Amino acid sequence: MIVAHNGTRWLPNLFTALEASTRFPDHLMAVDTGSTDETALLLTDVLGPSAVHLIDSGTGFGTAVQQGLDRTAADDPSASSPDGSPEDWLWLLHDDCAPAPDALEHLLDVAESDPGISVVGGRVRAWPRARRLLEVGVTVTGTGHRETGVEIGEYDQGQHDEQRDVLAVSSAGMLVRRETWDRLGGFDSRLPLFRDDLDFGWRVAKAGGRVVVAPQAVIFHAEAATRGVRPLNGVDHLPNSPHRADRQAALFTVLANCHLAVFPFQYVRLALGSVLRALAYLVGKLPNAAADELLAMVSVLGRPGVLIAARVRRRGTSAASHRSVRALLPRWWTPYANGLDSLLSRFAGTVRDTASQVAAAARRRRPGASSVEALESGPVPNEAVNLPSGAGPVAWMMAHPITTLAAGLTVLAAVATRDLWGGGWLQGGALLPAPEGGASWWQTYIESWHHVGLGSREAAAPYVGVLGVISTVLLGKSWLTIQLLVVLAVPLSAVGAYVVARRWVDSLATRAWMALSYALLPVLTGTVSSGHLGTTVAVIALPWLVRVAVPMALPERTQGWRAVFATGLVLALIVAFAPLAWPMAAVVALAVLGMIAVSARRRAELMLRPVVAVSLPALVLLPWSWHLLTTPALFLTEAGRVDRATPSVAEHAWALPWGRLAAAGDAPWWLSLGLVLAALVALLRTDRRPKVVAAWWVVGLGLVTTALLAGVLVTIPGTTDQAFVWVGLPVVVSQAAAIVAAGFAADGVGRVIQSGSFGWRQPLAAVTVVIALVGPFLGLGWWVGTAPEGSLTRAQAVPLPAYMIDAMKADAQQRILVISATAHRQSGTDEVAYSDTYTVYADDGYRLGDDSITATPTDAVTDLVKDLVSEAAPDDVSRLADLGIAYVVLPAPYDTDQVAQLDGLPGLSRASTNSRQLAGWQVDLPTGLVRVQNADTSVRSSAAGATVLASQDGHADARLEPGPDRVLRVSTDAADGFIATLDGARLDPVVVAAGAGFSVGTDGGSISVDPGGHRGWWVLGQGLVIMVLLVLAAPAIQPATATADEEEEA
Amino acid sequence: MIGSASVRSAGAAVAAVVVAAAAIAFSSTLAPTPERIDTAPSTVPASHAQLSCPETATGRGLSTDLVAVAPPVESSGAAAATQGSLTVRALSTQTSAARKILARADQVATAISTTLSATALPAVTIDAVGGLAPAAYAAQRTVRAASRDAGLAVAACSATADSWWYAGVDTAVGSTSRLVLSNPTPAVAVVDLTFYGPQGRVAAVGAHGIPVAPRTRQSLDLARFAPGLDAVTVHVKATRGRVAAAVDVSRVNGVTPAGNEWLAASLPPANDVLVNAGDGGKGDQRLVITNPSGREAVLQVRVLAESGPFTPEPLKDLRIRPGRTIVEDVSAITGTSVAAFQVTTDQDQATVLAGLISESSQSAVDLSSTSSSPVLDGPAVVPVFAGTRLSLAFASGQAGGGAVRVQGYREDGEPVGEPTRIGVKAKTTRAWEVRVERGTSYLLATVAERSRLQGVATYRGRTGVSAIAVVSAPTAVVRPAVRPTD
Repeated sequence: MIVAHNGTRWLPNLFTALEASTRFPDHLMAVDTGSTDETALLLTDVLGPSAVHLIDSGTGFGTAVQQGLDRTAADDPSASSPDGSPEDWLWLLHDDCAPAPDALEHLLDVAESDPGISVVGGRVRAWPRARRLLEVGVTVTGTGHRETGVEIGEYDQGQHDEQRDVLAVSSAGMLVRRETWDRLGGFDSRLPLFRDDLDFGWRVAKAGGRVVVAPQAVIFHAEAATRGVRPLNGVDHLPNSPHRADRQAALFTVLANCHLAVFPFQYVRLALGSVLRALAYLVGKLPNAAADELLAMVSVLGRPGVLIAARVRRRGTSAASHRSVRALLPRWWTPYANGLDSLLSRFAGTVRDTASQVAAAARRRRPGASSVEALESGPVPNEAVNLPSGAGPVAWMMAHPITTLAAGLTVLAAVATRDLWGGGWLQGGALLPAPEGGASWWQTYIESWHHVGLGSREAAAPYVGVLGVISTVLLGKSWLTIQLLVVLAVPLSAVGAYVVARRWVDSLATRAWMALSYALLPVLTGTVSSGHLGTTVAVIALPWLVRVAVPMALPERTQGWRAVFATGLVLALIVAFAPLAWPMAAVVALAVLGMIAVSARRRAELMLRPVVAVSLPALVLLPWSWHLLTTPALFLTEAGRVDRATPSVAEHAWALPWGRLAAAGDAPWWLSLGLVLAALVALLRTDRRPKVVAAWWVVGLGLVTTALLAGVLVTIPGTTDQAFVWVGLPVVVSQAAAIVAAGFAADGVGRVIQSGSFGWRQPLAAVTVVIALVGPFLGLGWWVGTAPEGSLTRAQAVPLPAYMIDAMKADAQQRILVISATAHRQSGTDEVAYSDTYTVYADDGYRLGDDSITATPTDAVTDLVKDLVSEAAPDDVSRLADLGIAYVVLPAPYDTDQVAQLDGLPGLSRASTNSRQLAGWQVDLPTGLVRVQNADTSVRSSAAGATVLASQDGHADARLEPGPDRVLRVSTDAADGFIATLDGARLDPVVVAAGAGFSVGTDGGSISVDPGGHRGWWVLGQGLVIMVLLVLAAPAIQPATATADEEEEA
Repeated sequence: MIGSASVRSAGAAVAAVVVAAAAIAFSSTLAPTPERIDTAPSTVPASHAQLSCPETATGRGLSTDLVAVAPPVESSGAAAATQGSLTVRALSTQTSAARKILARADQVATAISTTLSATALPAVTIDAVGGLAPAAYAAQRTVRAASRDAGLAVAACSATADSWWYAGVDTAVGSTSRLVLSNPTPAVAVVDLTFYGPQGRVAAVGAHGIPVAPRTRQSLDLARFAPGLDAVTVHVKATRGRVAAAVDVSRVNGVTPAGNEWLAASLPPANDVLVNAGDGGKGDQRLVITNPSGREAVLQVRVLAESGPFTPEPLKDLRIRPGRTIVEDVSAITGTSVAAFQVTTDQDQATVLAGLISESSQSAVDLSSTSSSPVLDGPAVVPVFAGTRLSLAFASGQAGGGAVRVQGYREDGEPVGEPTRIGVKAKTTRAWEVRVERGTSYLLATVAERSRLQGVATYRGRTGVSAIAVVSAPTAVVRPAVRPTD
């Protein structure tokens, strides 16, 4: 049965193929669905008028087949068995397909091999005679994706020659037992063109029949409708968009056939999946496809009645067990695995390009390779220059340099960080322990009031949100997020560096040297081992910033502006972790502006691009960026806390050229000797000097920034202490620029040396190359061999007994005051005096992210601590309770006088502690974040009779009985903004000794406390801005067109 | 053109390198100094003080008098509060607020002079609050009037501390030494006792981990721990909480009572200690020296007499082994004259403490004791008890000597008479019999600047003799520097 519609373009091929068939059908008939070209005439000419049926335009494929069968039976009852005999087979052919000569023979061989076989399909290849595989049997994923089992563009090399049972086969060339066709009523009329074969096969399987693919039977198929070559105008109410029609059919097929138990789940899954797909299409700048996706979803999911009716119809023919059908369906994760694969393929597109070029070069050298093949392979990258012949591991590694580099460095990183695995929380130096779950980062980022210390309303730095995103991907494993950043800093930096190096450097060896030298910067400079997460992330992201920023200089408008948005986004990411990157980027942008201004390419648009790119972080990082711009001291900090042990730049200025900062765990300076030497010698290569000098100016930028910051101190947040500024970022930038300078000069240096006569340059170059080459490998050896921990360690996140930590996390949200004494010898005397420092712990203590929101405690708290350690009085206990402090802890070594002082303080009782480690006391008054206490009694008795309300992050909801005049108190330094209501009515604020106070009165009711000032809208807006920028920055998805495809096949 | 381009690029290269080098050089010149973290403690007027008197003895032939005062002193540091109170309460397990006030003063300089009754049993505490806290002082006098067991014992009421040293404890047969531990705080205190006898440290059973319940007083018979020793030194160490400690010694010579006394608490062991013997009068005097350190010490003992210092032959090059206590009879050396004993060790690591036990036989047989006491560094109260003669002795163990100004005050805080100035030459001891004018409740001794004197007040009555150290009560407290940290 041939079904044709405007098929004059393909029908001659089909007839030619049929004529060449080794087994011709017993009866050949055709249906023309209202073609407007000469299709009907062509069919009549070849098959005769009696074998051709003309039916209405717009009739779907299945309906056309059925009408053809019905009319044939009516015209000539001998042509087919009216009762659908088991021996009768119906062969369906599209007008845009062509079977191989032996296709039908193979199909029949398989069909007749087992009476249980109901449907047989062939191996479908691209039109007209291409080796590209389209399908070898199909199935459908839970998301409605048509799973063909072959890669896009996969060539038929006999790899799918095995006959097997499948869920369905393509209707192009489908051989179906007539009895089965009649029993199941043929194709569903609701699926006029797409997925009708899938649905039919699924129904056959549910009815107990077998659908088998016969790979020996080859069918060539143009997929004219799918590829939009044949318009869908008026086909059984199908939308004009093939994409939408296909998606609509996909959703219908899945929901009409899936098992009843999973129907609700599938319904929701497909709805959400459609929205996500639409978003992905938007990002890929395919708004029409996004609209198709959403419209298809609405048209199917919005008509549950139609779905139910379809399911009822199918129930009548179902006979097989669900298990037997399920075996023909892919696993539930298959679509996600495919999606990830697709994403990675796009991400690694450049990698694949290189690999394919290398492979082509290898083919070219293969004995017997024709010169035509060599010409087709195009330009050969330098990866292929020394490519060994054969398929050994060395050849593979050289063909996949990034994979090899990343995999090798990951293994080495795992070894080099061997001491950073195990129990406890990774912390030390500038790195605070990660929170217990990734949700904490989200909470810190979204909430406006933070339960850290005595409470804070500081805006969280945006790096907290980024960590939240990463940890969400890692299923909320916050510890893993930090662990991976620390462990993978080197391999990730190497990948970025290699990708960038490939743009400018041809030599594989030079690229590898540059990538390795750059990748080692985070460990050699001590950035990782001193816990500077901000600089670490900046080092990882910096090559990508360069990668996306360079196309800004392109004259082409679309590509140039896409680069602007991409640069803005990557810069925003770096600024979020290391704000110092922003002014440095601004300086570079100014330099670029200056260069454009004096060049012949001076154009307003070109000059605008770097300005916009550097300005975008201000928009992306709002409202924090405003806080940053109005508090310039924040530029001197980065993700994580300010490390008190940060060394003075001035004292170690001699180490700057070697990229050393005297940071904990940094490498010996002489490991960078080769790099510095190479960067200096690079200036001697005159043909590359402009590029080398440009890199040297970046070296200068890094070192000048370092010099400017050498004389600056930064106040440690939450304290009044000061520390030296961490200048890791500018130093790393200067080192990276030195690598680039050396790389520029090293590229093709062999050719240059060979071309000149022997002189002093050759020995100098040789010595420099040797020293420079040895450096990274020595660095690698040092790193892996010594496994430098620096300040990093794994330890308990909060150095307090477990029951105290539990008290902090419990509903009362109590706090703990830790007072540490340090002995000082008084100047000029032998007397020892103590000074004390204190920390107020709340919730889960101080975790990564809290560094950006920690507020300096008020003087009142400091005065209370002074009183406690010098002349404690009973009222001090009430003051502790007013701050929500439930325990006072003195870690060893402590001042015994202070211990005795607190021992004797009424209202404090000794808490169970290991006295060798710390002494602790429990406040004997009811305390917590939110309390209700009598308003008109003495301070102490009022505190003693207080009721602590269960609360969470500043929110509390409780039932309050009527009673005496009472006050609700929220124990926090950041009291502004709190709102309290009783039965929905706002309570009047009252002045209390500490925190926020509200007059409750004597009435009872439902009391509620809210910290107010939520940042949710800000974050939502920020997400939208990022989404829009992502769309603007992303390259457009290039949908395959029929023309391109056919040209390829030709 | 090519040449100029080449020169330009070379120039740019040189400029870039020079900028980088200059930046490095510039970096080395910039060394900011972080703001100095102020770790120096500050001094503020004391805002409250609690003193514990060792024991209230009442009954037939027994009476206990109390003098408590917040003297008129100038506090160092910030201005002291203008209001406050000085209250006397009996020690009990009740909170301070719940306990009955036995006596109270609301004005600075106003003294409480009272005879304690049975309501003051077993001991009293004195709470000084606000403006009456600086230099708050209290002392008690117990008089045993019984003819056979007569005695006079004066003891200062002490603030709690975590370490106490007593030299001259007598646990020999017939003598009784009681350690009284008072814990006026609301938290339990735990105490360890260490004994240093003639043969070294005494392995005392049950001397560690002695609990003292909150707001209680405990009396321990020291013979239980180190029996049969006529001169033993005890170290009371509170390992948790703090206590006020006192040691009461009653001695019997044969079957004749030789008096009783609250031993003077000694300063912690040091290389150079000075024991002011006070005006002990006629009788036996025994110098008790203990070396609690881990090294043997060779001692130099100098006598600071009124006429000047000298080293008596018997006290030359005394050797004392680690952990041991030695007793030297110094009666013949001092005679009836006033003197102080300065004991120095030959090496830094060897530290000693010393005390002097006097057995007076002048008017009544009685014990008195003095010990190494702190140098006066502020106004010191000397209580005056009716019917008791008072003499003061000040010793100067340092070069330069010093002077002290003594002024009497009535109970209502009004000065009595003119102040008296006593000069003390370097390395001498000077005693002065105080002519107490009627109505005088206490004396206030104020040392002149740069004076380094150690004083002892000796009380004599019909029933016996007793001595207490003249010490400056703390007028201020040290508040450590406190700052928040991350």
